[in-house]
Amino acid sequence: MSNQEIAQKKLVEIISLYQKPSLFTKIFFIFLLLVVLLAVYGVILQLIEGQIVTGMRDYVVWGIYDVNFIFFIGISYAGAMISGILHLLHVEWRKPIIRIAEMITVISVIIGPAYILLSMGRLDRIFNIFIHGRIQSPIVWDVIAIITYLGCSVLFLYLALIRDYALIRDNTVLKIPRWQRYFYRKLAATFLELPEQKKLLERALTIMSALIIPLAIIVHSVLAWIFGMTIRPGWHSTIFAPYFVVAAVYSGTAVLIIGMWVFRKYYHLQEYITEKHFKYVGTILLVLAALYAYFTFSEYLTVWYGSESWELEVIYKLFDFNSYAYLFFFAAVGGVLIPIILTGIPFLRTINTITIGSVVAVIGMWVKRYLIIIPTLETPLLPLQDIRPEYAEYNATWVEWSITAGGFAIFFLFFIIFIKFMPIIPVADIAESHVKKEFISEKL
Amino acid sequence: MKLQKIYPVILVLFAFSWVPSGAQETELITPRLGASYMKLSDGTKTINISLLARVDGERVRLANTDVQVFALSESGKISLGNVRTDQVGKATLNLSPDKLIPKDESGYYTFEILYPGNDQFNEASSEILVMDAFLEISFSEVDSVKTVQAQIYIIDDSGEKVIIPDVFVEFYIKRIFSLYSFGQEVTNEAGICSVAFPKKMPGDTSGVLTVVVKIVDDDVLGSIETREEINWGTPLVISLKPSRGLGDTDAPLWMVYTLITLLSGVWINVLIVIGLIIRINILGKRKMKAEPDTLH
Repeated sequence: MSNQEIAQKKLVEIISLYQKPSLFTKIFFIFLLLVVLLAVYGVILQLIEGQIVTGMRDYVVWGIYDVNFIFFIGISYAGAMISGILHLLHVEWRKPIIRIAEMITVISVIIGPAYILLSMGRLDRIFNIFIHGRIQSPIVWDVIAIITYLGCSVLFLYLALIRDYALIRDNTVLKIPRWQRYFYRKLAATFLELPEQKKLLERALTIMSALIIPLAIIVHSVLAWIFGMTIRPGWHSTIFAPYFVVAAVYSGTAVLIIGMWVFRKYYHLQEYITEKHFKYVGTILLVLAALYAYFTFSEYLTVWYGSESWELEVIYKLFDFNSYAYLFFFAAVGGVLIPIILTGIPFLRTINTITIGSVVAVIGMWVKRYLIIIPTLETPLLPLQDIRPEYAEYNATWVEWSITAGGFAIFFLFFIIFIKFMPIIPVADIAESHVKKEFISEKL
Repeated sequence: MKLQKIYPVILVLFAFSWVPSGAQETELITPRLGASYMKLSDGTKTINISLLARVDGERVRLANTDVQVFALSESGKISLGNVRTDQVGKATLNLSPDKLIPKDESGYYTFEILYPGNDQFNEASSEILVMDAFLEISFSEVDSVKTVQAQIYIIDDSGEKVIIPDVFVEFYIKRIFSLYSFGQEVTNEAGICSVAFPKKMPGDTSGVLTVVVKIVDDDVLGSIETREEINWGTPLVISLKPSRGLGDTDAPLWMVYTLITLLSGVWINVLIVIGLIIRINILGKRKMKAEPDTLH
């Protein structure tokens, strides 16, 4: 059997596993659509009524929209770092999970910035940032960096898909609509598995892998500098950029593990995404959790020891059980310790426990972003006097929660839709590995 | 008998006649009506009015209240117009240069400002007695000493200039937010006074600045103000070289270069990758052309 025949066989095998959606998928799809509809209603309401329908007021001008923005940009690291680094290092086991990581990147970079638009009071003035934007502003850096990052992430995903599109184009077994086949033909870029073509494609992938890593670091550093360059307690910190980068890779890796678990279970990919993958990525998560814990401790210890009164005001709020202590201990302690325990202790390290640790890490990281933004904005330098309570304390409204839920629903919907048009497992790469393995075993 | 029946009625009426009627009514407050006169360079005369009252020990400015202005003369009283006070109890009546205002035999204008009163406030009035004087300024430069000269005079019935001595005159230069004082002088027997103009005073890009000469609250002449422009200032040089910094419109050059370098680095690589994809496509097409059966 030739390489191409093995690849075609694998393609049919993999796509058949999830081509026909299960009843659960259909119900989940409808549920997600309903959540998105509610979010759309919330967006319309906000556009008509203005920001008054949100909990954001004069002091707390950034709410959970910005939390979601940082969160989604953070999880986009999954593709950038995991697939970029593992590709450059030619790590063989990366192949079955790399597509999930790349998809997480593209989808989250599409969803994240949408939240920034929602937190703007005057959306109609968005173009001013392109017309009158000042290069000195970290906001402008962020806009430039995210647009570039999105472009490069899409290109990176596309490069990895070319071989699979060529396989689908040449496949005669799978029932694919004519219009879809037309697009596959175009997107496959006349790839015929010629040695020269493979060499060129490998070179392109190496360039993009090398490019996407510094780009991802820059994007999240710039995002951190929006906070770090503002003289406010809890923000004005020199370690904020690397702290954000580590937090982003941490949450991105955790989301990748959750993605692996979901696809493995509901799309029957047990043969491809194995316990080995969970253990390897779990180990990466463990290292990142330890690094993140170190940064967190270093950040809070330095600020607390400095005893600057304005900074202490925020620290005391974080440690006050009538204020943010529950959230703080969940995010800073539980969100780090639980994943460390579940991924660090060998006998606890199973597919399910690693996934549970990842879920805790992801929720913890969302809460952590909430704690970075809200308590600081609730602590202005001038004392709050004669203002209504809702101006002093931020409480997200149902509109914000529904739009947040909508963002997560779109994240899952995009996955369901994307895998209809692109194989979730890099078939060509897997088939190549398979042939290589068989060749070696034959020789032995 | 009949008289006896009327007695109680008379008694009751008598008793009520002793009740002080004023105790039931509120006492009217007399406001304070202030007025001043000013003549501007173009001959416009303005009457500035302020209306306040003391209510329960507090000073209250009477806003949105109509005040009447009259000119008095031997022939009678002519209405010059009504003005309404603003939120701080102030109003201004502008009288254009061509407005005919009667004078008395001595050449004085007499303005009467009248507040008619209402249910709460008494009527109030104020009077201004002022002469229609002229303040002219001229500029001279002798041996690089620049001097501003002011002359004050009135014009009598025969149209002759009558100079006014011993008038206190103030000299200023208009700046962005206020006036810069550069001298005060009293007019001599010729009705003239002069003050040296300060050196190195910044002007606009052509060196033009505005000199303001004033007589303030003179007993006879009221207030007069004359403004004139002269190019005695140091021309303002606007630097064409943009300053670059965090707070400036233009970013520091190192920041611009860094951004261009980083973006170029990224997009050049992206273009290289796109070029590689195009090459892959071309290679495939060549192969298909050579072997048409390659693709199913």
